Amino acid sequence: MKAPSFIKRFSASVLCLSLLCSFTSIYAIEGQFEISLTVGGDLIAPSVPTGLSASAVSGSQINLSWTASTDNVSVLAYRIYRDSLFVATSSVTTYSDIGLNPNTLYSYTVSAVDTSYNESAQSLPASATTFPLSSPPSSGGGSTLPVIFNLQVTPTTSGAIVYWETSQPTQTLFSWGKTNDYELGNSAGLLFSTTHSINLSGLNSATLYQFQITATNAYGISSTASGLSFTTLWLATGKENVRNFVAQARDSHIDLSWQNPTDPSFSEVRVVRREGYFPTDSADGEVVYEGGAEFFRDEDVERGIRYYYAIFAKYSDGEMSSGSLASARIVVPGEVVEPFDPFDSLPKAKGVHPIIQNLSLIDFDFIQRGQVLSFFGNETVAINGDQRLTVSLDYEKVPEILKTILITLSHPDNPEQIFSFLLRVNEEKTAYSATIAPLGKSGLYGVEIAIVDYQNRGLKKIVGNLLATAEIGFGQSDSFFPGAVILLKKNWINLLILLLIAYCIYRVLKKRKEKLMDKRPVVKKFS
Amino acid sequence: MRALLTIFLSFLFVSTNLYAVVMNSSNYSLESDSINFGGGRSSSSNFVQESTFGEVATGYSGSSSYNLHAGYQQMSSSFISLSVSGDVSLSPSIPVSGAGVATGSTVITVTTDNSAGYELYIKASSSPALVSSSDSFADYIPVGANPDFSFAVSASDGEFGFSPEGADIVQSFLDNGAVCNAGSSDTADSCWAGLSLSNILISSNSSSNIPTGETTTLKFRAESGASNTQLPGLYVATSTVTAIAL
Repeated sequence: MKAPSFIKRFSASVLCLSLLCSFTSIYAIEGQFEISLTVGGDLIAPSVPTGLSASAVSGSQINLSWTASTDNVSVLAYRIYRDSLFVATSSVTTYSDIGLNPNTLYSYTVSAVDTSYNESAQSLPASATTFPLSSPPSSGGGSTLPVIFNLQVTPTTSGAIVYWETSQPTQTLFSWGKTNDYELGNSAGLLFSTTHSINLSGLNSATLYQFQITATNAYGISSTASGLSFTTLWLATGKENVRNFVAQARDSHIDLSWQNPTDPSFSEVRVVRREGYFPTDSADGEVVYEGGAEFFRDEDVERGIRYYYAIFAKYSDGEMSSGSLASARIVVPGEVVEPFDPFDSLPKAKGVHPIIQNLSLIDFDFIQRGQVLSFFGNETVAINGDQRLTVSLDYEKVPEILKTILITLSHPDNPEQIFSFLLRVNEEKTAYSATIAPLGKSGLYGVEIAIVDYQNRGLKKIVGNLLATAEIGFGQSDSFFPGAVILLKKNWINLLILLLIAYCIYRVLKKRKEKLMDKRPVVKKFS
Repeated sequence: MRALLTIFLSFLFVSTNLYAVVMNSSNYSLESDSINFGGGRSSSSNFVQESTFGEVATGYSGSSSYNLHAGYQQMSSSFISLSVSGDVSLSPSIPVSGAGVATGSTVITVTTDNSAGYELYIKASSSPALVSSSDSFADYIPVGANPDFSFAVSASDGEFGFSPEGADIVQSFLDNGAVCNAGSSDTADSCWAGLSLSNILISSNSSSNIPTGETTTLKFRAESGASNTQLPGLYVATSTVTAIAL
């Protein structure tokens, strides 16, 4: 009799607890929370601003300053009243009231407001009279020369922030240029102040700029600081790639050769291999070689398969170059070898992303010695062949889709000899760039930039030229002269023929003239 | 003693059903587990017996307000869970008189393996929702049939509303940058409505979202107009969110 009783009680317990605890059976589940708000929680206004002072600095401006208020939570701002009328709000403890009438007395008060919009009582008033238009005041420096001091310049790659102070409130005129004519522009500060700053933008990188500051007080007394200058910062360039990276297919293996960068911080290279298409970074594929040599024989290859290689130069700071590219394929016996186009293996699509489609060569920056080089026309850039070259594309100029950007240079003497480099995004995600070792030889290099748009399965090609001047010694290539020298060197035969033709024409014309002279009738003079 | 033993064993039997998700991590969730009890295989040299411990009151039952799947792992085919990140304290405090705005938010996470997805509702426990012992904020009333793109109160009013944000919010809270229930954008701090005693659908999805679940951020805003007066005190709204497996 006891056993059935036990089972009965047990079953009843199971039923009760199942009903209570079977949460796995829930189709709808609820959560509850509270939203709370305090009204009037901060009813305490900030303390009343103290120490208000008013100081006229011109016939139209009075400067105010006061001591900060305190609050149990936080002071949000100060309200400024002129002659009992609200005129402005200031988040700091100074204010310049401008547009006033000359020789007029103005009275000011200030109140503080906290984050709950509690407003303090207004401060004790302070008054000042604006200057009369004619005579300088007896004090305050009106008749003395303002002094410009504490000049500070913070240059960037495309501008500079210039800060300075004056010994008395002044308006300032800031002029700047590449020469001491300060031809690029000027900026006038209308506010009378003792602290001044200007933020210059749109300047060239790695360039010397000169500037001049003229400070004028309320009575037109000026002093000028001229002959000042600063140099904008160099544009950042990436790590240099290896040069002359070549993959050559032999009978049973592929030989890779290259020349390591001469940069002292270079440590070794990494060679990555893939089938299908080029590796897009140093981890995209099989690492087949790491070390400091300038040659590697890849014996683990099969005939008839194209192997794509990327070589990355590693530096002591852990950074790598963007990557140089090459590919090779051991032909099958009897196969007719055709010229290799690295883009043949890519899918053929009608188009690419419209932003990519609209790119042209002038969207790319060609940088040497920290400066962006100028284009001749839209397709040719003159470079110094003795210096390394960084090719860069602003990150924001291409959409954030999966893509590969390659630049290929073809040799001026042998267009079939090409060298390809990856443009990789930098850590700051501001640009895609590749840094190419000095070309070392003058000539007109063909440039082809390819953007593979994996999302739209399309390819955008951009072509142009690099006009390189090497070992000529004309220095920076941002001028037409080295380019003209190259053109002359390339076309000297044509010039010689032209000179010969001109000489022949000259000789023919001269002979005809002599014949005409001989046929003229003799005039006899009679005495 | 036997009674205590009975209750203990009974508790063991059902305790496996205590949680909708008994174990989880960032990349998996275990919907249910069990502790086998009783039954099993017995044998001797001349017989084999398979026995089980019987269950009682098992199966599905329900009404308009609940669904019950009672019994051993009856719900092993589906689960849903809901979590609220916490209570909301609107800040800053609002002045008794004069303009003031206070905002706050909480995050609701719904996780379900239900292939038909889920719906998430919100309602208030009182009307108006945000009340103190002596005063209240009116529930926000949009100008038209849809939520207001921007929260706006007249100078003489104090109102309280909410705006959901997240990947699963329903069309009425989506916008085109200017109007709600239009377009497909989820512009931050836009599309405001007021709480009510009735459930308001705020999020929905028609598929499973395990193991990560999906979050809906509920933003709340109380605003007092420039000429409005709110009596001082602590104002509280109790809100209930309900997730339903479809």
